[in-house]
Amino acid sequence: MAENVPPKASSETASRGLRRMIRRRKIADGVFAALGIVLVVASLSVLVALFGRLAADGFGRLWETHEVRPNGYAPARFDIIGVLRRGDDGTVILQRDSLVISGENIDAAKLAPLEGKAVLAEGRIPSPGQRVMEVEGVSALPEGPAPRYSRQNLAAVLRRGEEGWILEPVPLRLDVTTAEAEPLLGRRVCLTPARPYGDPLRIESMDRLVRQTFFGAMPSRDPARAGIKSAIVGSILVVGLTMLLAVPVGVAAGVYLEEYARKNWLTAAIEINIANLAGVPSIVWGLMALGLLVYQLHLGRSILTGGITLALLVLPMVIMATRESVRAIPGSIREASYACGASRWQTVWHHILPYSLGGVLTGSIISLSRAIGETAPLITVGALTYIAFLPEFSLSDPLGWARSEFTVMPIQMFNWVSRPEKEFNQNAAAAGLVLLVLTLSMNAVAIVLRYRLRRKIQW
Amino acid sequence: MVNERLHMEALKDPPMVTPPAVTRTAAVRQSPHPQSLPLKAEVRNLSFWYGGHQALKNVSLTIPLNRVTAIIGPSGCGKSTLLRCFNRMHDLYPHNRYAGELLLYPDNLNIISSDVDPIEVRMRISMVFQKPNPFPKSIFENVAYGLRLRGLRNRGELAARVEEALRRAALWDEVKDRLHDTANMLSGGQQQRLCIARSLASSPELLLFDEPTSALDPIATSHIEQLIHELRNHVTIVIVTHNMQQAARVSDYTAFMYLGELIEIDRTDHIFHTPSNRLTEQYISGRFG
Repeated sequence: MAENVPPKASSETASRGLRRMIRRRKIADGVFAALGIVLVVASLSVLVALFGRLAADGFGRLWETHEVRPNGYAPARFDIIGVLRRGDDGTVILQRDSLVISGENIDAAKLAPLEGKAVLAEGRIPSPGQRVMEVEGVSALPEGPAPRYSRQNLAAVLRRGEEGWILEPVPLRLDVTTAEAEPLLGRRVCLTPARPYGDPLRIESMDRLVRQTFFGAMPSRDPARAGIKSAIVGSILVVGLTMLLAVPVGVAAGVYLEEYARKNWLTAAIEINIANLAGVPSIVWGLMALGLLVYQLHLGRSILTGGITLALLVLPMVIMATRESVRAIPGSIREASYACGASRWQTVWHHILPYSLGGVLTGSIISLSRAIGETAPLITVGALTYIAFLPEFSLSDPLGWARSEFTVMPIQMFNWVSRPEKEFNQNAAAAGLVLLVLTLSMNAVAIVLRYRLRRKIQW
Repeated sequence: MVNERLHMEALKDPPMVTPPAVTRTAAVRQSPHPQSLPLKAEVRNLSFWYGGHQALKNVSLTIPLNRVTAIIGPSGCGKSTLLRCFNRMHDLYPHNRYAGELLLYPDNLNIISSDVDPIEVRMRISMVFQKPNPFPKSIFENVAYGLRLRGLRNRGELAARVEEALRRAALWDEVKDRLHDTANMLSGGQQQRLCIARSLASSPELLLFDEPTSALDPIATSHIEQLIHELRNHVTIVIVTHNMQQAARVSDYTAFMYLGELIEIDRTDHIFHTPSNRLTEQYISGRFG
């Protein structure tokens, strides 16, 4: 039995050495884990800071609205805005918006006795959309008929509100019959006076006012009124066209290369080249498209040109995504299909396409979300930066919209960023948020689709 | 090296003579020699190449009608390769080449002729694979697939044929309430029986099994074996297996292959009790393989 007793001392040193070694390795483990946590936290906080900055700049701008005429034009400087009503004596009156008084000459002590009374405020009446009136003097309105309309003074009732002293303009009588005004009664309108005075006021034109959001406004010289309508529509049309062109062609090419083509040097060369094409800088695609589509084929700076350019750009990615997800289908499934007597096309149509759909859609959507943010190739083919119209859709020329000139979101942003006015930078940040949400939601759709389609398919 | 030496010795040896009388009489009662039966298929001097590698060397054997023929042999002997010639599976991959004849009776169709459309062959001959490979579709659609390919559109008839196939594959009672669930929900053994039902649904003339139980547990295996036993009188079956007991249990005839050659084919009881070739005997008794 003696030989079974282990030599005590040496075993203790051995296990001590072992423990020391394990401890050293655990320290290395811990250092790496800590480093990883620090790096993840650091990059996340940089990300949050960047997004936070973008949101701080642009978020407010997204929800701002302003009033415009139905044709999209803002009220001009001397236009008058208000609610159209029927007056007591059967005339048509305009109830203008109340104004806040500002001005150094105004003494609260002088205003207090006039509170609740009709006054005549002197000073320039602000242009539509502004709520503050610089007032030089306020005096009680003389007895008798109200003074006629003027740009220099305002007959109003003086009130005290939360914002300070407020002028509620007396209704303006208009030289319009109730029949003419009927459709607009009770609505906010914008009117252009024929002369800058008169009672009743003769008007040149009168329009209903509509609220316009950042999303619904065309680009404009005025940063506050500029919007992204034409850019969003342009982006959606271009990317839609890209999808229509790239996805069928790319999926067909990918399936052909995987399921039909013989494996020889030619297909190997094609495969390598497709991988290379996916890495070609996008501006090079733009140059190729400019030379071929614009100069050779005379397609112009149209949505069609943009769509084809982006389709060429994403085609290699769609082909590769398709090949990858087709390759992920086990050979045993193919053999099962052929063994049942299916032809090659039936195998593709009944099995390969449905089972690879998740991967194909995911790859396509992700490459389209890359396409929606592409700027360089579209600038190269001549997408414009100022488009204040939408492509026209008509039944007589169903594809006419594709020949229209266009702009897209990133180009609109680029244009705004390069302007000197700070407000335009806010617009760019707001458009950036929209673009970000657009691409993130496309990617989210891709993730959900992949999850749902993969869950049904297991091998 | 060992295998090759054994092989060489076996080829030098003359075939064994006159097996013991007892087994012989018992066997005759069960089934006559393959040559004396009506045939479903016949392999004549079949050779097959994967590119430059010759996997089958001049194989000849007969497949009797409505009987189970097992093909056994050690790994890499070409038994699966031979089986996959029957439904032209090799056509799916490049650089494969056949030579010789593989005749399907009664119409003498040379299955491996390049004039014959592999789709025609596969419409007549079904296959069950080593690993269960149901389509990721519903149980119903899996079984109905072969029928749909054959242009069957009538819902009532489809449902009836699907039920019949599932009953013959002994799966109906387990799945009748969830025909429209995905086939991946089934266990491995159920999936394999589903694949058998899929093959049976289109009423094949010849049913090929390529090691159908190698991925299954013993209980599932015994289900499948029982199933093959029940099918034997209605359809001709060729089964490749590396499990000798399985061959002994389910087959009427057994072919032993070695290094791409057919060594021996005979009644199963002969092969297992009185093999005429020494190589067969050595394989049966577990001395190699």
